[in-house]
Amino acid sequence: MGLTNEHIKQRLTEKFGDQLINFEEPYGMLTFEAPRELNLKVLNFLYDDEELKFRFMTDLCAVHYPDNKGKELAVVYHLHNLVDNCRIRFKVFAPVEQPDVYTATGLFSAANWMERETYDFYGVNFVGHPNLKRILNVEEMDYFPLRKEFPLEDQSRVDKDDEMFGRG
Amino acid sequence: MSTENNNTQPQQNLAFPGHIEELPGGGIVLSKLDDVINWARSNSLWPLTFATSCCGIEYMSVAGAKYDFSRFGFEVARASPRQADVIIIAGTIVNKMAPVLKRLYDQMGDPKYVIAMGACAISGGPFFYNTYSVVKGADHVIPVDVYVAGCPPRPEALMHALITLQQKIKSGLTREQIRASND
Amino acid sequence: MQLTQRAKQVDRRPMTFVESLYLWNIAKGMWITFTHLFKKRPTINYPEQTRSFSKVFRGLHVLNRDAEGRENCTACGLCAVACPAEAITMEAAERLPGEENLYREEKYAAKYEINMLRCIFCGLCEEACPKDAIYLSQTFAPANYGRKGFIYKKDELLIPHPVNDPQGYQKAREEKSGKVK
Repeated sequence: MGLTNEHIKQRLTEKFGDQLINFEEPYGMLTFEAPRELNLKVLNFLYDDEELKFRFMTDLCAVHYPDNKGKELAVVYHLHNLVDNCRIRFKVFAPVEQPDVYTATGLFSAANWMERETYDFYGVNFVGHPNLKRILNVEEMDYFPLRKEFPLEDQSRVDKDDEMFGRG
Repeated sequence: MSTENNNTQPQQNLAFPGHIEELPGGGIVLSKLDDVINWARSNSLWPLTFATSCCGIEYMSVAGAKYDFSRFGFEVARASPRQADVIIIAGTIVNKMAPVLKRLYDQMGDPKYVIAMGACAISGGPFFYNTYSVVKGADHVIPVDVYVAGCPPRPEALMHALITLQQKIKSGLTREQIRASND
Repeated sequence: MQLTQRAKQVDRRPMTFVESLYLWNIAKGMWITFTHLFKKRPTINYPEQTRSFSKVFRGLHVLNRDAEGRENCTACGLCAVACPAEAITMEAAERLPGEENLYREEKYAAKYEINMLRCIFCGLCEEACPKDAIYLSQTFAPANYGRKGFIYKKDELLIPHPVNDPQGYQKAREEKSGKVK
């Protein structure tokens, strides 16, 4: 197996210099951050490069970090090199006020529905997506339910308060 | 199931907590004909194939050889609502599924009956407080005749619901009359 | 590549005239159907016959009493907190003098309701209970025509009194002891 994380990292830094930051290897999987303007360039480079050949998109999703000011929404790309059986992950960050990220549908057809799902739950606006509308939730929904400002439980509940059990 | 039988045994049948009492009214000939029609209806109820989650597995089990709801006239599960008499809502109804359920119900020919099976279909169940996408009970969308509790219910519990529905049809009462007599 | 030893090559030769009449194949299929007449019926005639449930089956809840008929529940609320579906509601009350034969401890549940509509019969209430006051029995929740009948009050949940109704109490205890802890 020829492809090692060090080699991928070296190829990426050769190409993009110090624009890619925070290289990590949690559980042996190379992870890094890219500026959000560069996400298509990174994807294209990983796809086209004769050595890297990351030509399968495993997953595309988002994470909301409300304390990370200016970089609240992370869009996470998971790629797979099927020849060398090697996986890679990278994130781009976008502010929650204007979450514009370029769409990857031109490169991966699979990204179409994943981006719709990401838009559905986190409100990430994928610029250039052919059909960016809700996919899993009802179309009338006017918020993005997996953002952290919508709590897991109904806050108006009283049935677990101590008064219910005589300890008020 | 005659009128006298129901009136002389109030609350005897403990297995069926929603006990029906006949309301007065109706001529002898007419009610006899009604009895025959209701008897015929109650013994030929074809369910609609409608299973949105895990309760569907128990539903299949009831349809299979071990429990075999064909014995009660629930002959085969039909794939088309136009051929079905009863819809067994087996599973979670999410907000996106609710219009589909409504349409399926509207497409069924009268008389039509609804059984809500499992905690999700009767109340939203474990999703009651904590979710943005689940209808808190299928009776927010369509009227429900018989409720079955469980997560998922035993096949016996669904059989019990089917027999309960047959008893209801045989008694010839509407949902509103049953609610009024229970209150 | 052969994945199993049982793989058989498909015979793709055209059928002969005798084969295309399907007589032998129809007879073979009919014979299989016929032999099923003599096989054991798998069907259980449910309302008349019942299958025994698994030892770990979790059905309707029962509120337990001790051997003298005093209620075990102290309304601590651990079951309600443990309940993932938030089906349990209770109201606590303090035991008055003279009620020692009714309640085992100084505090008891004046109101104890389980909403069977929401309950998912997971058994976490039974596991949470420090007083062995609630357990799940071997009977399933019966169907009902309305939502109202599914709110089980305390009188429906309590086990039969061991002194006033020893037979009912014994029956309920046997159901419980059959369970594997």
